[in-house]
Amino acid sequence: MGIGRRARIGALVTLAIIVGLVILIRLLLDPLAAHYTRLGLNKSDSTRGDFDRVHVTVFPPGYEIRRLKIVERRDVHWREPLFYAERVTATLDPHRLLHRELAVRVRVDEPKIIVTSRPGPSGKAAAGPPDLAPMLRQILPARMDRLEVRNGEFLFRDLAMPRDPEIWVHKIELAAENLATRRQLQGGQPTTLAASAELGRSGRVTLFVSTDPFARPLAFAGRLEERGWRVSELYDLLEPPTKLQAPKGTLDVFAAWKSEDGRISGAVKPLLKDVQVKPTDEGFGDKLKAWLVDTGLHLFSDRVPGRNAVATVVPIEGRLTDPNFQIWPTVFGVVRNAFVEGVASSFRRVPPDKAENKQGVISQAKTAVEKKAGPPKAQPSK
Amino acid sequence: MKLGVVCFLAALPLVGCGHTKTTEKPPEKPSAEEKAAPAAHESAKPPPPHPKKTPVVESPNDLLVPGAEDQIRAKLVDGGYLDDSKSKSLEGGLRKFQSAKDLPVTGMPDHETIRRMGLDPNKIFRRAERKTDAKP
Repeated sequence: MGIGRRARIGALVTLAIIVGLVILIRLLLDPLAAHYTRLGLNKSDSTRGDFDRVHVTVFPPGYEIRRLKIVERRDVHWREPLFYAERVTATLDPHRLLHRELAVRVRVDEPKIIVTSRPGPSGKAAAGPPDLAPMLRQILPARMDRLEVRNGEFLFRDLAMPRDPEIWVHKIELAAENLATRRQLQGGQPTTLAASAELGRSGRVTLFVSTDPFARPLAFAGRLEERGWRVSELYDLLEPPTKLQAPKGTLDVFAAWKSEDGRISGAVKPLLKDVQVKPTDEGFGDKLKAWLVDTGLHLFSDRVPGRNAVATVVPIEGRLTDPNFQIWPTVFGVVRNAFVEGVASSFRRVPPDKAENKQGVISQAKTAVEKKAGPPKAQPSK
Repeated sequence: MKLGVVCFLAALPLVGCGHTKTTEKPPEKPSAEEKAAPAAHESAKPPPPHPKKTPVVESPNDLLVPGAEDQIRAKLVDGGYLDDSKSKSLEGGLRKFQSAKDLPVTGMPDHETIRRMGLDPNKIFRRAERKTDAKP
């Protein structure tokens, strides 16, 4: 046997070993990734997770998980997942990896988040949902260049209130960019979040937030727009305390805010259009209450032909005095408060305040046109 | 009784004059200093495209450098995503473009959307001034 032939055989054997190793690694990668993912998902005391399959890619370096489901440990039948996603993919940017930068892009398809507020032993709402952040840190230990969400869904269910009202946000499309862990990696640009969604069966929501997470004190700004939410969808929230329903009309909420040098400023503008109020019972008192609310809404209408809008502007003011404020909880706190304030201020006078003493018709008419008097007051029955 | 009815009827037109109540302030009048120096306003230079601090803004369009909106509009019109190049809002066109490219349909410009249009995000979005931006 010649030396050349031996060398050729040696090279072929080496190549076969390398190919075999690559195939072995390739075959082992997915089960290994699945094993460690399962371990990570089940580390928490309050939640556990499951998935259909995990796939790891080498070129480009990436990770994909299908049908990820996270439930509370007490949900033994996996019926009410806190979080479900059809597909989650995380891909490392190979070019940035060559420059020793870990930049990951995450895409979440069809996620569904359900938050349920249950009554505690005292009848009040129990503590909020479990903290998923430690679990996410286990799964995604990298800086995020971009986060995409396609066709997401969020459901908030309040079991602590009568009728178990729900707020359903769906068709969520979200893009967050430049979530860096160090200022120098940010490239002088802010972290941004742009989102669009549908609220209930009729509303459309858009949200934009920009922030400099490294500014001290925190710097962030943004705007929220909600248009065309039919007030009839608020029946479960509105009816129990007021015994009134609003079968016709829409609610828009516009909010903008900015936090700079530790001071938050902005405004919320809720806008009721063509709202009609009716009693749910046929009692005279409820009819009178509904008439007063309806009259109040018409008194403050802008009288623009083709619409009948009632608006007010609620200022947002505040200071960030705690140096340990965390950026995202603070930002989402402001967004949530702006939305809740917008909805609440629209119905603040429902039912209307009751007058201390019964007023005559002329007195009521006179009060109604006074600027500082506010909406008409319900009259005491005696 | 009759007097009461007459007064009530007289008050009705006043009731009809109720208008939307807002706490919005009317536009402030220019101060004496502003009135005295209109020329200074007119000759004032537009703000630099890149501020000294990381820009934090309320609207996504406020993150665009001057002229960027026109570049985006031109790309959207070229691609057939926006019918009218004079259309005031880019939102509809951006939505169509993002939907066609399998991107989150937000209707707002972001880096990935701009990159997919064939534009350089670094030339479209404002950022904190770098040392290299300073003129020699």
